[in-house]
Amino acid sequence: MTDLKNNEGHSHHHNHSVLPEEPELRVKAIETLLIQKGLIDPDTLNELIDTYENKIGPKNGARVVAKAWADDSYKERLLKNSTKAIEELSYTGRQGEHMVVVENTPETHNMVVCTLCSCYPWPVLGLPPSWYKSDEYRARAVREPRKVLKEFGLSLNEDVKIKVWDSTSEMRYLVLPMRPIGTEGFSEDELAKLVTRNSMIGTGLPELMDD
Amino acid sequence: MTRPHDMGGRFGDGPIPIKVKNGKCVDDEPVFKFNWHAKALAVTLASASVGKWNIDKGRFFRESLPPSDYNRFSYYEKWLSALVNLLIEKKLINADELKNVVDVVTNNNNFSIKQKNHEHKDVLKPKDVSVTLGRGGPSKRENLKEPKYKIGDHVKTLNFSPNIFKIGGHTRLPIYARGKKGKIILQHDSHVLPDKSAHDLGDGQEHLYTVEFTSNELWGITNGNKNDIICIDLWESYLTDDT
Repeated sequence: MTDLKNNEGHSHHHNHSVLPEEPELRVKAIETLLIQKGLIDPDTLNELIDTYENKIGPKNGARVVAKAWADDSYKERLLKNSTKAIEELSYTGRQGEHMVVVENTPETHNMVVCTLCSCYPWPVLGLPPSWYKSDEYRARAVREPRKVLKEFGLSLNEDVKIKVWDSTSEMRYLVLPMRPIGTEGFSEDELAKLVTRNSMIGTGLPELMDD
Repeated sequence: MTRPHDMGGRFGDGPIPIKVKNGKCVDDEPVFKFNWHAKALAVTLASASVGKWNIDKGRFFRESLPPSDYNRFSYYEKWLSALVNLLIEKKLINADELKNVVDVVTNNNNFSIKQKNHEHKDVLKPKDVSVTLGRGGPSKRENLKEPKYKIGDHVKTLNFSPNIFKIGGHTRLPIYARGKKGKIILQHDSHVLPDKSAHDLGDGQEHLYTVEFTSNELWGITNGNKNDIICIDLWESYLTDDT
């Protein structure tokens, strides 16, 4: 006999099987039904899409990193209470409620993954790139981080310690990369341009422009 | 007990799907690769306002998809399927309505969406999007209990699923880190316990810690690297003393 009490969700985890095979039609079906039932507002959908397409993205995180590079007291606040220091730049909320900034040093390189799903600091980095959500990254980053980094073009010295942060809770991790040599006297705006998305996940480094 | 989402450390996955040029990763992916990706994200976020399920329940529904579906679905397909299951569980839609609308969209390309005159009272309005996202849903909670551990303490994780409330229930202790010895490196106050929250059993807040494990402890000295560390956020009930 099936113990129904301990099988919460068994049957209703299969309702999705009536959805059509093509994903476009799946969305269309759900959207249509929810609008017809007065459960979602079509204008809200556009507003949400516009927010993540145009307003929230890795440019935010780059501002945080550049400020930390340019301003020692900000860097100190950022490492001590990351959520509060990031709030100073008005980056708050969904998927970034509790932030931890981890600093790269010559001895330690940090990288971030979420093996169980795809947790990622939205207010500072926007939505995650597809590789971050891929099985390949989720499965391999914790077991063979050096091989994974090599695929990104990042070869670390064998004696550099790698710290992999698996985002299993609501804490969200942002990597503070090392400031590139030769950027003395750069303004915060100039510094922010060097900060790549991957450098804040830990799968890349800041990049000095060639031109 | 395993579920398909718990894949940390798994063997058999190929190269990371990135574009590489001159030995370097080229990061030029658009935010949404297809329009339906954007719609899937927006419909999911907007529905959560009326459905009022918490993030843990949302995750549990995604990881509870049958393994064959979980593995073949793309990211947003998982989201959509879990969303439908949640909407039905919350009785916001029913299976017959879903069948009807699927029939309509599949067989008639020229129909237009008719909007209902009265809206659900909790519908997310466009003007509230920015405030709602900016507020988010903090998981930190007050807790009168003192933390059991402090930074520097040596601990050992449970060697079974910490979810004692539901068989096959939600938990955030990955299988690869069960029965392993580590050290507390950060303390994060008290947070909602996903193992309870995902099943409507209250917040059950507990002290949350970051525990570091050596690569050798997790993967053995043949597979590990003596210079690598894996840091995992773990709730107090996931841990025992390692003295």
